[in-house]
Formats: sequence, structure tokens, C-alpha cells
Amino acid sequence: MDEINRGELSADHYFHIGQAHLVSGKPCQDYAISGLHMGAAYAVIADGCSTGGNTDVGARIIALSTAQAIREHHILMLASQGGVTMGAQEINERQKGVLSVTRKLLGLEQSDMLATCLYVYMTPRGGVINIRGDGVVALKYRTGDIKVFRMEWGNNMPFYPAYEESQLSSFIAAHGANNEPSLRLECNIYNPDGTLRKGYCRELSLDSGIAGNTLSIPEKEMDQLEFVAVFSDGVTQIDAVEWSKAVQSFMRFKNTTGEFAKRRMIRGIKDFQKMGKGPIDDIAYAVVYNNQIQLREDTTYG
Amino acid sequence: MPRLGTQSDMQTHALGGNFNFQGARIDNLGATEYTLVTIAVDTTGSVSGFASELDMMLATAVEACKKSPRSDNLLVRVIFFSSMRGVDEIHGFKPLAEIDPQAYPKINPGGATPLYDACFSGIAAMNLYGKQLTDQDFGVNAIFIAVTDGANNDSKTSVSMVAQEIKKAVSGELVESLVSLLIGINASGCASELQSFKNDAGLDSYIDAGDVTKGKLAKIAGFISQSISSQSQALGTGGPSQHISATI
Repeated sequence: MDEINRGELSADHYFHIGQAHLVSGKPCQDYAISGLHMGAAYAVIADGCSTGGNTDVGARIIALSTAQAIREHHILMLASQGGVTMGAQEINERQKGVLSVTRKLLGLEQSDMLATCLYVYMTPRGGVINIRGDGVVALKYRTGDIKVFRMEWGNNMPFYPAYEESQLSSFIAAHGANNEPSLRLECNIYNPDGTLRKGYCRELSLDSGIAGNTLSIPEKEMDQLEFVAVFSDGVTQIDAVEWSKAVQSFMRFKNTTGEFAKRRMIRGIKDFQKMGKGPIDDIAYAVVYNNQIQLREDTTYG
Repeated sequence: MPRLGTQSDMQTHALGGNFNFQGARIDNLGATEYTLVTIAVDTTGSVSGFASELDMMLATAVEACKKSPRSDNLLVRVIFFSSMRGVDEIHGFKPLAEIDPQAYPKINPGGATPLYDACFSGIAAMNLYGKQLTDQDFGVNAIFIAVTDGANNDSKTSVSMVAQEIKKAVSGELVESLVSLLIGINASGCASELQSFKNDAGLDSYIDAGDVTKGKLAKIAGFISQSISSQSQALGTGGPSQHISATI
């Protein structure tokens, strides 16, 4: 009897104020949202710029408008029956439209909207991860291996999608000149015991960072992949904890029901606070869980 | 006595010494944190004069918990105790939404008072289940409430065994905090014994509710649900609730 696969997706998210903002009376400027929509799962985080305006509001609008863009894109994709693919570019364009209208409706300044945005959009047939700004992406496989991508911008000047509205040239000028290496991508693969198996670093051009870096998850990888998470750069600023250890810790889920990511990060932060001050910067993560149920042909399911 | 609930959603755990309990399968729990609640009700022969009022008190207390803002974060266990049936689990730790207090079996009074056994079973079960939840990243605290009209006179366990379980619980390793309350009703004749048991075992409070009246049992029901809600709201603060009244 042959085995067949049916992918079931779920998603959860969590964000937490950092020590620096807590003691200085500032709000948490990170935000995360996740959900399921017509068979797809999405997980989005946004990290507001500390020196911007009301970026706590901006981060929420960026994340929520991205979630809305993903949902709309997914409906279109389903309706087109293969005519439309899972393109991050289309989602980002759609998001830009939602964002611009919302900002004007709320009377917000562009400086309020300075927030990075990372998201995962996944269906049982594959997915896409998109990074605009800085942060970390982690993929956990059923073998226990964890692949981690960290995106860092030079001079702590990340790209914010809101720059596209009118400040793109100023941003490029601030980074020197177009196509100069301003962006660093670090990729590491960790064994299930946490040891580093291999890793590399690469400088990326300014152009590619502005366009947004996309990782595709092909359908054939879906049965190997268990969790995909996007983190704000707060995960790299936990007191007395090496950033890759923090990422791995937050990916070691004890269970997968309901608020699985909240439980893991709440406990992880508590544990880290025993070693130091905990997160210095605000921290957010959003996770998609791919529960690939193995069913036999004679198994009935609704 | 039949056990309530869909048994496939529950898992049985052994405490040793013929004590066991059931708890909802941890894989099925979705919230970030839970307050474990155990209500132990004396069903010995001496409650025969007010057994139906006790039935109502229990049902009212559990029903009232459903109105708590923390109702989604409560896992409730109800046990009856008497030497006739020992410690009798009506249902193990389960979400309030899955409990129908109106379906609780009627108290059938008889036998002597295994109060230590009830307290041991109640607190040891919360320790074991609490540890399992804590290990799975859930935030957990606990509240144990025993309602009795008499002192212990027929237990397999001892005061020191109860004290040991309470000590384990309040060390903070198994659950974040534990509140343990002993409520005496129609118990003026044994109040000093119950007070001594409270002191020796390390329970938080002994509350003498006085003689049985309908109004009194309704007040006890309200007190129980308020205490549960209060302890649940304290979850995450690192300590027990500070707002539980010592009088009814």
C-alpha cells in the first residue's frame, strides 16, 4: 500500500519589548502576525526604526498590510489555477498599495512607517520567504538540522520598504553609491546537536537589498521542512547569548498545538534572563509549522 | 462511579500507592499558560444532611469559573473523598469548556474521612502534571481547595507526605506557585484538628465557614471561583495570588 502525503500548516507569532525600550519608556517597535488563509499559512514580522517617528504604529501597519497582500495574492493564485505563481514581487507591490493608502488615511508621516519586513508565505505546494531590511530567517528540517540566514546592513542602516515612496535616492546616497557592498548575508547550517556543520558569508549589492531578498521553498522540499521562522534583528541582541544559539533555542519547539511559538519564546526569554538582561532590543518572530501527515491510501480523511 | 469526559482526550498518570489521576493530553493544549485547579469535596456519611447543597455548591463554583476572564486558562480536576470509595476522581484536569457541572454525579454520602489522601492526591497530581506542562514550555500555577466537615480519620497517607508535596510545589520548580485552602463546613467540633493539619502540612489557609446554610454554601461557591480566578490572574508574576480572603 503506497503512502500519500497531505500537508497541514499552522502558524503562530510573538513579539516582546527589549530592555532598552522598557527602561527608556519607549513602546515595543517590533510586531508580528501570522495566520491561515484558504490552505495557505503566512507569518510576518516588522521591526520599526528606533530613530524614526511612531514606528510602533508603522511596524504594525507594514506587517498587517503585508498579511493582507499575501491573502489577496493567494486568492488570486487559487482563482488563476496555476496562471499566477507565488511571487514575492507581486505581493510586495500589492502591499505597497495597501500601505500607501493606509498611511494617508491615518495621517501618518513617512518617518512613522520606517520598519523592516520579513515574511513567509507557504502552501502545501511550496512557499516563499521575503526579506526587506535586516533580520534572520530559520528553517528547521525533520532531521533536526537548522539552516539560518542572517541579513545585516552596513552602518546599521537597513533598507525600509517605506523608502520606496520618496526617499530611495537619499537612502542610496547614504550608503555611498549604488552597487557598493552594503549588505552582508550569513548562512549557517547547524546539526541537531547545535554544532555548526557549515557556513558562509556573502556581500550583496545595494540593489539586491532594495529589491528584497527572496528564498523559494520548492514543493519537493516540503516533506523535509518542519518549521520556517522569520525573526527581527532583536534575536541577535540578547544579553550574554550568542545570536545563533538564541535562534536555535527558539526553533526547538516542545509541541506544536495552538500558541506554540509564543510558548517557546516566552520560556526562551525567561531562560535567557537567568543569564543576563534578556533581549536588549525588541524581538519578534513568526513561524509556520508544516505538519506533513503521512496517510495511507486506505485511510479516510475529511 | 462513571468518569466524565471523552477518555481519548485524557491521559492517565500514576502517583504511586494506588493513586492516579487523569489530565488532558498535553499535545491537545493550545494556550501559553494554565492554572491547575483541584476541588476536593468530602462525601463522608456526615454530609448526608446537606449532600444536595454540596452538589449545588460544587456545580455553582465550577460554573462560575466559566465566567472568569481566565476561563480559557483553567484546567480543572474534581475529586470526592470518603473511605467508601477512597479518592474518587469525577474528572481529571480538563479545560472548562469540556466540563458540564450539571452532569456531575450526585454525592452519595457514606464512610469515614480520608482527608490526607484527598490532599495528597490533589497536590501530588498538580505537581506531576504541572511539571509535565512546565517541561513543555507552558506557564503553570495551581490552586487546591478541599471542603470538609471533619478531620482525617481514615487515610493511607500521612501529614508529612502531604507536607512534602506542598514543599515540592512551593519550591517553584514544578509549578510557579501553589495556593492551598482547607474549608471547614459544619466543622466547629474539629476546627482545632483541621487547624493543626493546616499548620503541619503547610497549607496556606484553614477557613472555618461555620454551620451549613444554603446561603453559606452559595458563599463558599463564590469564594472558590473567586480564589481560582485570582490565582490564575497571578500567573506570570512569579508568586501566588495575594487577594484570597481568609474568611467566608
